[in-house]
Amino acid sequence: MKSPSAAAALNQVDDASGVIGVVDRHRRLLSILVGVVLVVFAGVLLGSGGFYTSLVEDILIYAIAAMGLDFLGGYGGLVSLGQAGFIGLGAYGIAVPEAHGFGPWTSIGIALVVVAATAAVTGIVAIRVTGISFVIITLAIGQILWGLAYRWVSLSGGDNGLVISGFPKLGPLDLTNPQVLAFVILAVFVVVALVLRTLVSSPFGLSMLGIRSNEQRLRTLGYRTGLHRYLAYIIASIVGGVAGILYAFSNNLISPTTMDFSHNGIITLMAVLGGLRSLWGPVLGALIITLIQQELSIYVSRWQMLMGAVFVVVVVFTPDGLWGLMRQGTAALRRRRARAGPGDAARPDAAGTEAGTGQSSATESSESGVR
Amino acid sequence: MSMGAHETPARQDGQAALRMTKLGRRFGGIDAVKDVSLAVPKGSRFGVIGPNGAGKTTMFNLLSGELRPTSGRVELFGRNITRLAPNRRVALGLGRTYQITRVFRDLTVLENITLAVHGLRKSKLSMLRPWRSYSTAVEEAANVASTFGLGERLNITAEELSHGEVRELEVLLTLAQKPEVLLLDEPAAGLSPAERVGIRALLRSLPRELTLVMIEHDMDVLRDVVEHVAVLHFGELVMQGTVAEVQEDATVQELYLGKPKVAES
Repeated sequence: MKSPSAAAALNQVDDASGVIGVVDRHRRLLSILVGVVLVVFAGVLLGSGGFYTSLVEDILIYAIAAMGLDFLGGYGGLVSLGQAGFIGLGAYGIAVPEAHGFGPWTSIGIALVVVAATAAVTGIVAIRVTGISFVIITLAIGQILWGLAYRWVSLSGGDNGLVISGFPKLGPLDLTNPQVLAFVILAVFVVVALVLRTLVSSPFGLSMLGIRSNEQRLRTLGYRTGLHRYLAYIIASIVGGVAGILYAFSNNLISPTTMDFSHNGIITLMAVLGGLRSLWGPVLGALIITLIQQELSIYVSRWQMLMGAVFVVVVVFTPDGLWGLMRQGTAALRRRRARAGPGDAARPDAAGTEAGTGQSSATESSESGVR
Repeated sequence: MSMGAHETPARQDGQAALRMTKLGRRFGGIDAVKDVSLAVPKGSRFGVIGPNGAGKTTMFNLLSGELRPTSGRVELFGRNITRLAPNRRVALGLGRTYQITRVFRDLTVLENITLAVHGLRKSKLSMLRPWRSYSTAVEEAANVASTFGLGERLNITAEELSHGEVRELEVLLTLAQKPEVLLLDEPAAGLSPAERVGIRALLRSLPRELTLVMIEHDMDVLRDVVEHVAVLHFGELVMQGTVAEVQEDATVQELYLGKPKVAES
């Protein structure tokens, strides 16, 4: 009795969201298409070598870090100001072992372990709080990591930083070749994006949305929300560490500047400007900010001021960032088109009467359940 | 020792779904709940009434674990849960709803209920495939929604629902977890008479084996749903009995029922 009515209800929802559903399906296709085009475009630029290669590499690396931050901040409502710290940790995780004579593959392993372990330890402190306190604590964690890099001279080389000397090699996959390195970075970016995409749509990702929406209620539904936040923090930090490993091989040099306060701020800015709660947002943010940084700094010496102004405008007028703005725009367009579209099928109430038989059977069964 | 007789205290201990013993909670110098001892038999329907500020919701918070008592103990099916975290109590079959609705406002009805369905399963931590592909969980969520009239609203966010529908969703979130003991905090609060019909129907349709404890001011809703009523006043248990007994009690009338009930809702 119950299940057929539920099935009817499910079908009916598909019916009711007819027009929007079709557009949504197209949007998914569209976003995949945009993704492929971007990846191909990035690939062409990466293949060209020279200045644009390093620029695109930077964009991809920061996009990875910003996506990790978005997973925690956009989906879980926990905006971190310490992500650059984990980029630095990943990069030093390569540089320090290499300086001590370890091979590049071992160093990658060490870097990942160090990043995960640091995240696991700092996470115990960080997840005790939410909201603005979380921002402050992650800022402190980032500053501690920066302080270590700056002051622990015997290990980190202090202000001068460390040069990365060894590059991993696996058959034809020789990262000493800049073009191979560029495509490896692109591949890692795609993999991270796909992994995070899977994560945010999983039950775990749904629980992150629940935490953002109403953590206390989620707890009373049986969730150990602290554990969920802890895992999300570790995942986001590891993603930051992966960006750091790529950064080390891409820049050949790691110094404390990479993880200073302004870099922490910039990565957060990328995610917020581009738009939290969508994985494309941070990519867009990383693209725009890296380009602005690159181009604007040639003409305007205080480009950060302009950046700040843009940031304020975005936060005030479109809290969902530029990607959110684009979504709103397409949604408005869609609504207008739906209104102008042929027939009444576009209107949800009309769709409701269309699926009237299913509806009435559902209400009937619920009433008979009542009596 | 009369072990065989089913009326022995030991036997009753086993039968109580929820038992409070000298339960108390102080806020500063004020006893919000004081020395409340109450046994709710398995499968019974209990109402909790009392004037505003009587400590009803505080008592619920002590039962659900959102507050720790300053004295006394709480048992669920004979097991001491006094110091257990809220999520552990939920896992033991204790569900509750809130007077101030706490649904996930920016999530859809389906997402809301799916979260509840995953809540008591290991799958809530799984990261490898989309939640929509967990078809049993999603179907279960859709089933729960359609049984109580939200079946056509699955893809609508909670903030777009009417007030009555939000209250229903609030109850459905808890029902989706199939609790054995259900604590309802004013399920009909703030609803129009028309909307009350829906929530009353929902309450009446609850499975018989479910133990129900409900805070409610509306005597019509109470008469409809519960058999026994406990009366709280200034944190203390003033009396308990059947709905009729409580209604006829002079002290209670003076305390609570003597006042026009319109003022309470």
